[in-house]
Amino acid sequence: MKRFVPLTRKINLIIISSLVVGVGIVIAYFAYTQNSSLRETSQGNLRQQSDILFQSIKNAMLPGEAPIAVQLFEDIRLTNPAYKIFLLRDTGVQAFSDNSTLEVVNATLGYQAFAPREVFPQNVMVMEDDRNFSRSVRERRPVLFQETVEGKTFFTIYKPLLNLPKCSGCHGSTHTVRGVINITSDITPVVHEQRNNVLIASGFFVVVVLILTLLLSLYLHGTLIRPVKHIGDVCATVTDGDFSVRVTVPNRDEIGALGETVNQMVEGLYERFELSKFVSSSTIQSIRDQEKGAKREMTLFFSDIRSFTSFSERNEAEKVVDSLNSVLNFQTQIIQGNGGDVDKYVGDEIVAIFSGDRKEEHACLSALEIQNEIMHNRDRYNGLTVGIGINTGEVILGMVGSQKRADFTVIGDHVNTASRLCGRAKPGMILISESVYQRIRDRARVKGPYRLKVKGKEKFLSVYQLLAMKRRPK
Amino acid sequence: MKRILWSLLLLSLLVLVTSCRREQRGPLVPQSSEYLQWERPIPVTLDFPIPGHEDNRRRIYINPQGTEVRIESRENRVYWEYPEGTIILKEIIAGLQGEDTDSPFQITAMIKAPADPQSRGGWLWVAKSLDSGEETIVDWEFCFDCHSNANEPHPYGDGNPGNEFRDYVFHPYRRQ
Repeated sequence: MKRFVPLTRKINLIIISSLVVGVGIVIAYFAYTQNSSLRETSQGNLRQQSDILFQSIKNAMLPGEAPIAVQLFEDIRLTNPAYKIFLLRDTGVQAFSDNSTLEVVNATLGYQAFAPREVFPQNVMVMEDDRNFSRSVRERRPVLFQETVEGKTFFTIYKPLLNLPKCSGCHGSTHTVRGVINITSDITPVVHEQRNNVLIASGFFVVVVLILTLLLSLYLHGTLIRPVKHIGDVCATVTDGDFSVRVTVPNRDEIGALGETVNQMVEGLYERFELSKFVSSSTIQSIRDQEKGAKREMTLFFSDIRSFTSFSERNEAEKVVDSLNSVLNFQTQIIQGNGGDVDKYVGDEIVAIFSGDRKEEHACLSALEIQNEIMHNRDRYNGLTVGIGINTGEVILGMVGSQKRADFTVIGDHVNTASRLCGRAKPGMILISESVYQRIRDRARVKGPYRLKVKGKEKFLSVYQLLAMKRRPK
Repeated sequence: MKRILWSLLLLSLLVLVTSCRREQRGPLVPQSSEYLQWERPIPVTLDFPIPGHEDNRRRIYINPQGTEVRIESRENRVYWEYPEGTIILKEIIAGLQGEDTDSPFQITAMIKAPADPQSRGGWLWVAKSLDSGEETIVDWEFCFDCHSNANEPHPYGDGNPGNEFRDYVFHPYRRQ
């Protein structure tokens, strides 16, 4: 069986998940694009700078103005200390740090086109065991990478300076890479900005999710959860038998419509509940079972007030009705207490039926209890007495009547016999048929058998007067 | 309802995967059985060292589309323009000395494809190692920068003394 999970928890889960996923994606995308943009801008700047230097060096070299290129590097280094800019040979040694290139050029040209330099820079840069530098030379392509040194973050680019055909006139054709431009830029502020972007986005995300969760929860609690719980409470109260409660949901939506439907249902239930008092249990059961008709063996119980006509003539109508209801009421309680079902009231007469294995016993016990009650409380019932007839046999149960008005009742010869026995029973007397007696003989004290001639029967009936009966031990 | 939701989820994933998948190219460099049928813009094997190919020999081929090169003069300059689909292919053979029958170890090719996002100067620059069979599109400066010199006077072939725009080709195709 599935575990009960409150609606509140489910809805809150949906809200929070949706917000976390939805807002999270938006903010993560925002932070990612911001940071990507910053990174790409920094990289783009570095590439542009290396391109400019590449072109500058190329154009300075062609007319043989190497000192201009050297000075350019020096000036840039001095102007912006955040940049480290070098031109390296493919061996990793800083270019223009000696006369070796110049000597190659003079040799290629076949004459001393350039006089050897005598002054060289101090602190010559030498690139050793740098795999990015080696890769740039080997693959003859720019290599851009990020590294963190002593808490600072740098972008570095190595851009090969190619030995183009127009350069080969001086530098020869035996090598492809003349040198490598190396620019290192301190991007620590950019990294800090990226981190701040992420922190701000995260904070914003948390605040937005919390606020939206709170607002949505409040809204859904008011419009959905509270009304649903209220409807559930009303249904529970009705289940407990209180039909006075009603759903009060002001919503003009599906929940409001549900509340109205529940109210109509409660009113309908209340009406049916009240009506069920006027309908026998067997009728209700037959409606539930949608029975049309069936033959069953049942015990028929008839009880009739003796001399009721003369009583009603002697007394006021109100007293007559009160007395009649009083006698019918306690008989009904006793019959139902013994598992019987009052089929109908016919004037001052009760028609009841008993079913089951011990139907005769239950009917007889009911009859004895009724006579005992009347005998000991004559004043309460204004001296009214009853005669009771009981018979067992196969009867027809069915919905008898018209389409507009019908009763689920019993009919048949055995019903008539029980009625005749009742008619012949004197005040305080209980008459039972042979079929009833045979089922209770070992427990009952009776008088008889008597041979009784009843209307509609040619043969005499064998009947007994029930005097007492032993109860079965509980 | 659950089935519909699952279907939508799967569809979204499929769209995402499809949209993220990088378009796979087929082989760009033709097989030798094909290019050996092509014309050669320069009939000899080039056996002098040049930057980029260093001390290796080169044999150059051009496909039939490339032979339809258009040459026109605009604003006092001659422009060569190879049609889209042109392939100029170089066999790279190890060493400057050897026989004409020596097999290449690498193929480099210029493929005219101006609309290709990896093209530079309207050409795709491709290098294929014949050992591994791997093709590399050289979409950085290397090939392009060197071949840019073909559009101005340079030390190879006829040297482009007229400063013609040779469409990045050092040894232009000339009809026999």
